[in-house]
Amino acid sequence: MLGLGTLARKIFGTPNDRKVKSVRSLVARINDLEPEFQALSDEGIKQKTAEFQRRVQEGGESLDDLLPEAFANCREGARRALGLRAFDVQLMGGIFLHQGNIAEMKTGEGKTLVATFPAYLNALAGKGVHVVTVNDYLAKRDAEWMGKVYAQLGLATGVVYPFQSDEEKKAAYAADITYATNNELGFDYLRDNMKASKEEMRQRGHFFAIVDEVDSILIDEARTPLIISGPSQDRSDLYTKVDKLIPELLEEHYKLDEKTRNVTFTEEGNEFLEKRLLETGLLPEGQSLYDPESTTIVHHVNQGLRAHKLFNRDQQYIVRDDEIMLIDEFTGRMMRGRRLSDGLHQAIEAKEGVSIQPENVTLASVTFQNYFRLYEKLGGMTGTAATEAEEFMEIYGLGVVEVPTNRPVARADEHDAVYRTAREKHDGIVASIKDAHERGQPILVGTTSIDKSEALSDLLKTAGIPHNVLNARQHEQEAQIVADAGKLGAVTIATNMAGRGTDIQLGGNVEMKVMQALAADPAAHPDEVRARIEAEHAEEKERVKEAGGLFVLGTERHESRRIDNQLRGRSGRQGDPGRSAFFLSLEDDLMRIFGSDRLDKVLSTLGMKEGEAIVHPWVNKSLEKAQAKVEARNFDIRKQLLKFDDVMNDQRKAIFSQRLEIMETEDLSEIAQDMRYQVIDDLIDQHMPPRSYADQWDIEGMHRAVQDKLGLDAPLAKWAQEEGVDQDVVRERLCEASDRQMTEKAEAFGPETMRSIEKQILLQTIDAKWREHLLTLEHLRSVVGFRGYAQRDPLSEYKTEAFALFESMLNSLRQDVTQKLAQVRPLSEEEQQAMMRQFLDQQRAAAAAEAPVAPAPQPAAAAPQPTPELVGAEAGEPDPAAWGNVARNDPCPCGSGLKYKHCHGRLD
Amino acid sequence: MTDANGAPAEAAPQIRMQVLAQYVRDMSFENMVAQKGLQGGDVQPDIQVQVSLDARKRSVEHQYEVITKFKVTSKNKSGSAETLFLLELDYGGIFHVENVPEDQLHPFLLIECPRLLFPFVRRIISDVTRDGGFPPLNVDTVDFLALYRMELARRAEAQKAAQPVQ
Repeated sequence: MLGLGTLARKIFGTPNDRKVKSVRSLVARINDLEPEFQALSDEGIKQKTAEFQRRVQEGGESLDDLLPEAFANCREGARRALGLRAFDVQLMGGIFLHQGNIAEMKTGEGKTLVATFPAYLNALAGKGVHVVTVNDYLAKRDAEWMGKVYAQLGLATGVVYPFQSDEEKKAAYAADITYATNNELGFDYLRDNMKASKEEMRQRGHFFAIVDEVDSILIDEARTPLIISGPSQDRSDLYTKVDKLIPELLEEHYKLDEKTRNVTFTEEGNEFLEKRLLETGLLPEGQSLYDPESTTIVHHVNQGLRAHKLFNRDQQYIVRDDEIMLIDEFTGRMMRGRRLSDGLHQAIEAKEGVSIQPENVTLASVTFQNYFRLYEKLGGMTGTAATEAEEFMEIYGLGVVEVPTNRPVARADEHDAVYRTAREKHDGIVASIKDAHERGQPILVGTTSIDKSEALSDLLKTAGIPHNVLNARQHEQEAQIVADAGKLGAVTIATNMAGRGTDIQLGGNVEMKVMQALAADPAAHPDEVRARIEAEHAEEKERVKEAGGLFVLGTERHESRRIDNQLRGRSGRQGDPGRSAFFLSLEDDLMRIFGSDRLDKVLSTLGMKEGEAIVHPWVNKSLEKAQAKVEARNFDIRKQLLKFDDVMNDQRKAIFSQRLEIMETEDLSEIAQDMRYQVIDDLIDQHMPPRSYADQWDIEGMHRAVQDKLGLDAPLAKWAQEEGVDQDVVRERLCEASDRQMTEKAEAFGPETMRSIEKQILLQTIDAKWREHLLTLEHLRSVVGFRGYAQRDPLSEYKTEAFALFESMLNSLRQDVTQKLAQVRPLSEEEQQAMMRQFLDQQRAAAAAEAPVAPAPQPAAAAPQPTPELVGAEAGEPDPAAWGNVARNDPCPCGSGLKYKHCHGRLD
Repeated sequence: MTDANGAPAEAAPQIRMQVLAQYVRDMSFENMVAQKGLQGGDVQPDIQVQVSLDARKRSVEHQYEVITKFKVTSKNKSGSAETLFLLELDYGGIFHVENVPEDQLHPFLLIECPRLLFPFVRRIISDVTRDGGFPPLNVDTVDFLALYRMELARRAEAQKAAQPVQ
């Protein structure tokens, strides 16, 4: 155990001082309570949990009051379940998390265990705690591992991952503590808000979330919106056709800006394209690229260009199972199911010749920033947050507290070695790996992309150095590769995948070794095998330590310092020795794009020789400046995004809470009535302006509107002629009439059916309107930037317009709901059958759209007829496939509803 | 025939036949040269005409609807054989047919009636192809009798082939 004196010395004088002081007394109290809890039986620990739950949920005790006891109980539970006794610093981390801070803890300090303390404490409130991890593997692993602790304590653990059934998800969310990835949480939130009834919703509120690798989720990923979308019309042929033209482009036809990741056509490029498009018939004769009709084709061409010039195979994406899978820039992992928007994904699909999936329209979206701000309380853990403390405070109101390490870090971070060319750098890397490998030091080589990792792997093969490669392609073997990475003399080349959460143990992973040994020799006694392997392992670990611990070798600097620190952090965990160094060259992307010219000059004045590296603090400084520049730019982008997204977020919250209310409310007739009255008011204001006389009223228009909107044939003309009839009287009479009408309807349907009809109509209309509104906002956002040219602030313009749009959406929502309710009536038998048929047709069409290859059974029209049919003497080739002769104008047998000549019979 | 026979007309009741209506029932013309911007001009077209017939009884007595279905495909003879145009025309007529013996009704409807309709079909095809910017296509006269016989033979053939299986 670490003395508090050491702790205090380490953090003395830092801004954490005050916080840590208050926490110290708490830790002391927990320590004092320890013997009491150690004396409890297993059953006693569970009973303690039940007692705490009672005290919080019924006794009204605050969680803060319970903290010392609960933490002590949790510590004891973890000790019994896992054999791990939490250090005082881990308790501290737990307290900071509970207080809603970000706890910055170095790698290997046991963040996973730290999370159990606040999770346990907050779960006592019975509202559910979410522990958020960056990937499904970690979610499952942690849930399984820490689930033992919670089980020991008498709480249920759930884990949420993609492709679970609704019941499984619901059960997982209903558990006291739920492990999940940020993606899955966000998507479930969106899916929940598209559900038709409260029973179907999976999540049960947002009480407290502990976010692991919080910087990754709330900063790196903050720019990524989560989008649920549905397919729209198919234009896949156009993508393919356009795609064929792109390779014809010469370098002078486009301008590539790597800094902003943008590519545009030059004047020559436009001319050339126009010519080629006309030749291939993609552009109709006499139409130019600049005509408004050409917007679609221009869009396709631009996306095609971006797909070819900005997206490289095995760098930004890989091709797998006839699909384009994007690679996460930060984690190096495949992002299954994530697609680029605006047709860019389709353009890449066309480029790689895989099947083109239909373009999607947004049905619901939320950014991580906004999702996590839904929680009442948020806590986060990471190894690297300090550099972004300002951003966490500004956006999420989260403080960053540095939790001291249990043992001091013994890793040596060397200065960067800068080479002139990439080739020299690679030679230097290989030499350095060779040297360390021969000494038996395990090496982790960090690369920035899959193809770079593979290129380096080839170099090592040539040099005859055995090694493993860890990238998205090998992600199934990830656990094995990581387990082996700490072995004596192991060389592991990894992408950013080996950044966060990867625990490389010196000498290898004991559990893994035991499992392997047992698998190889099932007859052996497990305990004997374990004893033997543990002895071997201890020896190997010592030798690795003597060789200098894990050597982390970075081959390139990332845009963000945090990612580099993550990589460094793989080494020197828990006080182990270690070494880290970055090998760079002037040809690296970061140096090329963001590096200052001064660096070039410095290097040339120093007179670099072939194959020689320069190692100098100045170079480091210059690089850090470049990285800081990029980080600042990204922060600005995120801030801007947030400001814009805030507008949508407020509206989303309003709509979603409205939706929830509707789902929860049994009887919506009052809401419907309010809406109806509002519509009547609007109509009267519109057609019978206040303070106007009866002869000024637009009786005819009003009559039409009332009929249309309310489904009432009101004798307005007669009313207007009556003595003493003003707007109020008309309003009253209309309200009365419409109430009567609705009551009649309710009777005809039966009250229960009527309630469910009201609910359905309300929800459907809200969803449809909201979807439309999202699209409108998207469009607004894409054009509002131009307001800047008119000396207006785009953001405030966006705000005002978005608000106006929202109001008009609510207006039309009221009208639509009222109108639909007014028109709804019980169906006759015949109509019901017709509806059923239509529904079936739609289903069939939908099914056909999903699987267009499978020919559906032929419709009745093609059935054999009693009258003869002659096939002519001059008959040509028979029609393809089993459909026989289908007339060009007939509906296509595939059931798409299109004419055969516009569907499967299309001539191309 | 009556001369040779010498028999008076009332022995076999007078065959009555009248065209009550005739019309384009369905038509589709796909001009691929225009749609895809193919080079028209001096290509050698390879034209195929497919004819099929259909006849059905109407709810009114003695009335039949006869439909002739024409499918004209024009392809580029040289090279890639892409389609130049595709014309489909269902041309029908309503006929009043009386006093035709039962066993002769079938050939009557599928030989005599189409024969009456054919000139109109021919004119429409010619007009449409010309309006599509092609040289007007005048379809060769169709021998509906030969067509009928061939179809009969084909059916017998098909039946024979089907027999052993059953």
